[in-house]
Amino acid sequence: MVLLSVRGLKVTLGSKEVLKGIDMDLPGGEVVALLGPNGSGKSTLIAAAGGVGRRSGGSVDLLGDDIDTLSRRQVARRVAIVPQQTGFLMPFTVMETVLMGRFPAAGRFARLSNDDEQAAMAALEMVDLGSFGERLVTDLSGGEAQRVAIARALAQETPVLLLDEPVSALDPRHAMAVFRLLGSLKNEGKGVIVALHDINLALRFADRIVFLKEGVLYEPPSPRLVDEKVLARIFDNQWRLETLSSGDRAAFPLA
Amino acid sequence: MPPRGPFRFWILALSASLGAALLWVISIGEVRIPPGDVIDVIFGNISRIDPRSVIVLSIRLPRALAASAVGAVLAGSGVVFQGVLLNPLAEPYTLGVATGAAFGASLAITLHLPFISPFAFGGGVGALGLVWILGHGGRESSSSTRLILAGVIVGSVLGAGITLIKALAGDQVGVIVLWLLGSFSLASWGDVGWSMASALLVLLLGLFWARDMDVISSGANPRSLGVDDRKAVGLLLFGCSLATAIAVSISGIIGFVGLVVPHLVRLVSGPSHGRLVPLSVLGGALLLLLSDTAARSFGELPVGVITALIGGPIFCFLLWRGR
Repeated sequence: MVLLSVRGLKVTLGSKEVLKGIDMDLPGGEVVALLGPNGSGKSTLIAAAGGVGRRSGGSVDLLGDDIDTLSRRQVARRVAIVPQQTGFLMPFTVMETVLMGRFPAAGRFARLSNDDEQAAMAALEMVDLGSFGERLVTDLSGGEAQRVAIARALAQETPVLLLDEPVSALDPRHAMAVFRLLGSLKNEGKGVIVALHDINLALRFADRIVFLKEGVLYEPPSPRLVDEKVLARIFDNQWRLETLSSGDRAAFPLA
Repeated sequence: MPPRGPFRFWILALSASLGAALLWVISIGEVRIPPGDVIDVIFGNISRIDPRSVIVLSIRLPRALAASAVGAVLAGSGVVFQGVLLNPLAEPYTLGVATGAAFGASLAITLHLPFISPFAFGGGVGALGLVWILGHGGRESSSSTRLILAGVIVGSVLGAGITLIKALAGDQVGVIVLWLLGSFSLASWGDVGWSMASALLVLLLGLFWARDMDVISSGANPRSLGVDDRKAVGLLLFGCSLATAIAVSISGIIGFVGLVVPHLVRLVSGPSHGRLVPLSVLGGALLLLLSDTAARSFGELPVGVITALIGGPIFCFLLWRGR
């Protein structure tokens, strides 16, 4: 089932047309890696597809409904977004912050229940922060803060998850753990789009790889068909792709 | 959210202190009236023509209630402004309400008009409208920086206007200066009604949008967590500015309450608005009630001087602690 469907999506910021008519479908049970050079429009696409960014044209359907017909709360119950910058300002505790992910599902005044607390705790454990509940988010390292933002999105328990460079501040072990986590969410039938720069993580974990360059989407028919030429064309530099003894492929930028 | 600090304890402690302070404040003065008698007057057990009844019901009770309600408005609005403008220095006067009200009042005083409060209210609301239009600049939504900047600009221009009026006011200048410094000495039951309604408005707005303010102030993209930030911020800022305009038209400009109380309360409540709003409303009421009593005891000093004298050092302490 297609969870998120983007048609003819255009975004113009100032005088620049950042996205020039994007068509994209996200079915459940898939992790889609979104790659592209700086300024290619990855964050703009994530924001517009998730209903938090500006849209100059085109439509976004979430679970069959036009996103413009849904309230903000309804949208936040269907799609969760992990932003590139966590931007924590106030000294909320880690637990309080993750519980904010439960607000869209809770009523305005409804007390957060034990279920909510358990969901938040489970989300924290998924990102290896189970013991961080009482710490203040303003005291965390960049990588810890990024994992809190991921946990907050997980606590929303949405069918669609959009992540904007979620592992940019994470050490290799935690980055791998996040992608294994995305894999298990996929197995639960969720749809995941993750913007990132690490081509090797994409090659290893993504079901589909889509490239964005100058506001236009390019998707090879299969991730197996991503080769040195494709990477060179997207990133304007030389690449070497090697197949490892494990069968995985690894990409190295040469220049 | 998990409780941080004993929220119930602070609610009870502040409510009890406010109640006790009200009784004490009403009982002291040139004529001492024992707290027991004050209670008897309020419950109608003492004749309405007894001098004690006249003093309590016509002078001290309305003054005490108006001071408490205005304190509640200022502190509650301060929480809201700091929360949604993402600026720790924001206060109820940030969007030009106070200078607008001061301008209106100064105009009414120099022109010898019999009613100052309606002019002050009109000036406050007019300035707010101007800031709102400037801050939005023809767009649908506005950034907090633009709004704050518009507030500064409108405030400076109106401030110059006030200076001009003072220069031309002749012997009225003393009246203008006293009004600007704020006082509750002439509070009526009508003032009590208006200020109580404003306080209620601030409390209800703050509680209704507490979770939205948590999300906004946390630094998250509010929309990704289901918060309609345009609607929430607009309603909160407009509602609290309106309440502040009413408060200012009753009491004049009283500084520091809206700035200091929220910062003090955060020390015990944490940043969660469900706790911050009610505690600040109580704290602001208590602080302004006691400040007004001090002002009264020192021979009717302007209450704005007292709050500045109390608030200044507290703010220095908070700054020094690095909050």
